[in-house]
Amino acid sequence: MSQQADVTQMLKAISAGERSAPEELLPVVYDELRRLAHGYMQNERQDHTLQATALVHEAYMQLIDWKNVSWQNRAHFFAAAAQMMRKILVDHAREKNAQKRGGGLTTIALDEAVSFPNRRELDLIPLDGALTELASFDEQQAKIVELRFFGGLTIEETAHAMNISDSTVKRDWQIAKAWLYNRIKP
Amino acid sequence: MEAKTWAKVKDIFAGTVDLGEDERCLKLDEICNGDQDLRAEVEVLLRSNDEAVEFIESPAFTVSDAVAPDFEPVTGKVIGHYRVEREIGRGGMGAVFLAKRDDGEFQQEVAIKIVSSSFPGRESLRRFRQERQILARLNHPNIARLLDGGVTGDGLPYLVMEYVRGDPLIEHADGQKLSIDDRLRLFLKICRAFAYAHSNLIIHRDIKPSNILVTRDNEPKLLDFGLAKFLDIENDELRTATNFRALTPAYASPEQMRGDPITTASDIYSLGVVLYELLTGTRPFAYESETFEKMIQLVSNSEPVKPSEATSFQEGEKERKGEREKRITNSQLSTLDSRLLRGDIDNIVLMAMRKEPERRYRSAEQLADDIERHLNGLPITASKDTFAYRSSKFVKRHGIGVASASVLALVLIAGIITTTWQARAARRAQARAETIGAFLQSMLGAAAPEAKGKDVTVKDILADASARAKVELADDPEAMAQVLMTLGRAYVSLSLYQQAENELREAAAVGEKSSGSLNSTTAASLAWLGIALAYQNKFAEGESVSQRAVELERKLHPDGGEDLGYALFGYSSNLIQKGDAAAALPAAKEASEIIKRTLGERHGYYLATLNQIALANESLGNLDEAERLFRQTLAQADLIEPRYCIYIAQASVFLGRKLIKKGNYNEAETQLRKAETIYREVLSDSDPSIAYIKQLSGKIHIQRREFDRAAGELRDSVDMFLKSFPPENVFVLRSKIDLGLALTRAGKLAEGEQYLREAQTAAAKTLPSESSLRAGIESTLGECMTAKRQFAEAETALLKALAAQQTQDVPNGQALIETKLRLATLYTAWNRPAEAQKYQ
Repeated sequence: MSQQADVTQMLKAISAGERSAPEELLPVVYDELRRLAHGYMQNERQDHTLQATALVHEAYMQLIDWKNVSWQNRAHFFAAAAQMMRKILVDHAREKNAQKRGGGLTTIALDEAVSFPNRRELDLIPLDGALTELASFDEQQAKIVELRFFGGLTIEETAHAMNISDSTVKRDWQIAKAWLYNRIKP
Repeated sequence: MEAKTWAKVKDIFAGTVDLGEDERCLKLDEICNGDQDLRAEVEVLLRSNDEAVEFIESPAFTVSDAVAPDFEPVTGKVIGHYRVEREIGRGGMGAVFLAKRDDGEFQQEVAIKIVSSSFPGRESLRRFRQERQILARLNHPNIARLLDGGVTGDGLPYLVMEYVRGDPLIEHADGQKLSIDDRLRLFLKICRAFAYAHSNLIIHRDIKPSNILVTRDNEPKLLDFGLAKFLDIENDELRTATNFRALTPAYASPEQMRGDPITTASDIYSLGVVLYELLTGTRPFAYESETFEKMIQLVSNSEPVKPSEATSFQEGEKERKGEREKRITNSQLSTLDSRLLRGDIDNIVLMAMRKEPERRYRSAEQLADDIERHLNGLPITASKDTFAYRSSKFVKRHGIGVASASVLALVLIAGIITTTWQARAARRAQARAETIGAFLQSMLGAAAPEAKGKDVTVKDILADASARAKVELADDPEAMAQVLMTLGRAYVSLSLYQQAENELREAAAVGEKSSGSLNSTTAASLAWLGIALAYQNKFAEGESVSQRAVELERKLHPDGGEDLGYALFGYSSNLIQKGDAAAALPAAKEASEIIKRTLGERHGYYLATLNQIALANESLGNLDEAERLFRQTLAQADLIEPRYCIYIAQASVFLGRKLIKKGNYNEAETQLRKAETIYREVLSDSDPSIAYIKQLSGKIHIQRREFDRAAGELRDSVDMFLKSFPPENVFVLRSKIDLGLALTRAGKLAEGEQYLREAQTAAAKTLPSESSLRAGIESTLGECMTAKRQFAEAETALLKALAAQQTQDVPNGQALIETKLRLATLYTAWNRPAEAQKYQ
């Protein structure tokens, strides 16, 4: 699995200060995650949340050689992965949007999966925009949302990856959610 | 928004979000102090917060295309015969629900575990069902029963288990203020339950205190038996990932952490860790934020603090410990007096936790027995680590590196020492154990890299041992014979038959000289010598050696011990090689019964005997019986210890060969590929077994008329065989015949002829001219010469083949027909139709 070796190597280089930014990691991570996400999206079976989370964890497992990566490096990795997942999913939504003749809203039916009030539908594109806006005045909160929502991390994992306390993550997550919800609600 | 405003908004939000309506209003009035914009901003967010409870709580990819119902709807649903009441736990592998069966007459509470296998394919579901059947056999009062299982409507595997009301082990022990002896008695029950499961060949793989619940009346119940294996059923690529999830590093054995094959010994290790924690309140290794690799290093190389010294709390565990310390202090720290752990308990725990699986307690039962002996004030069997241990350290310190080198050396030591141990009562044996011990210690020293450069291999260790045994044990021939025999057996298991033959020959001779022929070392040496000879195709001598071994064993052990089994196995192997399957069959059957009785039917050697019976049947033409037996072996694949998988591979190869004969090439290829995978894992890449597989796939390609591919496989096969065998070895010869044929049919006539001529010359040195093999060479050469249009030479070769094949005791129909066809082709090409007619 040379991919794994690549990513692991890069992570080590980043943490050793040999490379400046995790951005270099992105193209590699992107390809792999897109492949996995695509495979998942193709899959029309009725799955459940746990499986989706497992998917992402598996993607992560495949991307790096966990035995050789410190927690700090994992944090870089999670950040990159979440950012990538965001891009993949939003791109996917845009594509679908374009496919629909006459455009219109890209909506993703939520059915029973998420009880968004009044069973409204969640549109990833405005959410993406709102998140970018949020980042302009509170980068930390935007990062938390990215890790949680796009990266699939738990509160604890997010705290660990960002090196902040659980309670900070919880507090920021709550208010960021409220702000985003308010921003994009129809 | 301005960052400054936002900071204010955040603060106010955080300060008011948890308040009730009225209180919140008052607080907002106070803080905002007339700043209406600020207040509006906060109020909007607070309102949104109330509405947005579920908003983006599920990760993006779940709300994306493949929308999935969460577990929530499970509650209230009926799964199998049970109505789901509520969720009681959730983890990386799925969720657990409390459910009830209510038939009116009878009520039962159960725990239903829904396994979240990430991509459950048909294969994993099949394995899942199989595993479930195995687990359902477990019926023990201290093991939570598996009641039922199946697949939910959503395609998720689930298990229904007995619902246990109880506390996790440690909490229970602390809560009930159990004394050390009480804890030991509780643990004893746990060990016995494990012994029961292990005797059913079920390994837990994820033992930890939270998987051991204790009920009010102090009865332990083990949960999640074999569950970790379920999580292992994903496809190969994901195995690393799955392992990562399926083990708990704090309790995992070194081999488990490394991802090596797992046996019951791994459970023994985890039991040791649990006992450690139960008695000391701390874990042997404090894993903080180490990387996985660090943890592996730690668990593989560093020694845990003795339990008696561990009760003073270690750093790094302070936080967790602080809480526990309080709890224990509250109860009765005095009962957990660390002095009580000194000696016996230290030794018991550390023996269970030894790094090398083969040096731990052999079984959970033994561990239990030792604890019981301690409780009864009797001497225990565990002792402080002694010589063997230091030797292993030595090997490690000097970086012999190849894990198998040290493991093998330890197996040798363990084997010899236990053999001798059994006769411990006799003082002489005791003295011998020391002699052998000292010898092996120096042997490991000799294998140190500074003496030989870096690449010290198992072979080097064995060779050194052999050379030095002959010198250093010269004044104790019995010890020497034992060491040489052990080395010989080790060589057999490494498929180094020539070396095995040398050692075993000498072992038998030395034993005979010192104690007469009627002694068990000599008899056992001869038994293994017979096997080594059979594998080298030296069946003439092999037959008589094995026969002698059988006679000696029958005299020594009229009731028939393990060694008689080996002797008979060797005897039947030689007879099969010789072609006398009729005589081989009863010997193989007797060997099989003995091995089954002495080692059990899950032992690899038993499978080896089954394969042998199958082979004999195959030679006798009972093809269906042979196939049935091979498949019987293959059916054991999941039940036997991984180290015996080689016999599974063997059955696959034989079955593959059979399927080729039947013309079922696709299934044959599947079997061969399976065997090759196993062989490549356990043997060197150029092992003769792999060469044989290459030869068989070469045959398949010939049948499919893919001659170039066939030639490629066969060339590999020949090269590999030549690494282990001399050119006149029959495997080399057979492989060269096939290669010659493939090349001829691929049109590479010169090269084909060259291989066939080499085979011809080599065979002439050792085999009589009427042998079927030499006939085969001639016949193939005839085809090659015909293609080269050297008709006269072709005719000579084919007629030679024909003469030999017509006079054979067991006429090989297929080969004879082939030769006749070749003659017909030759005469047609030669334009001699009358003679061609004769052979058509």
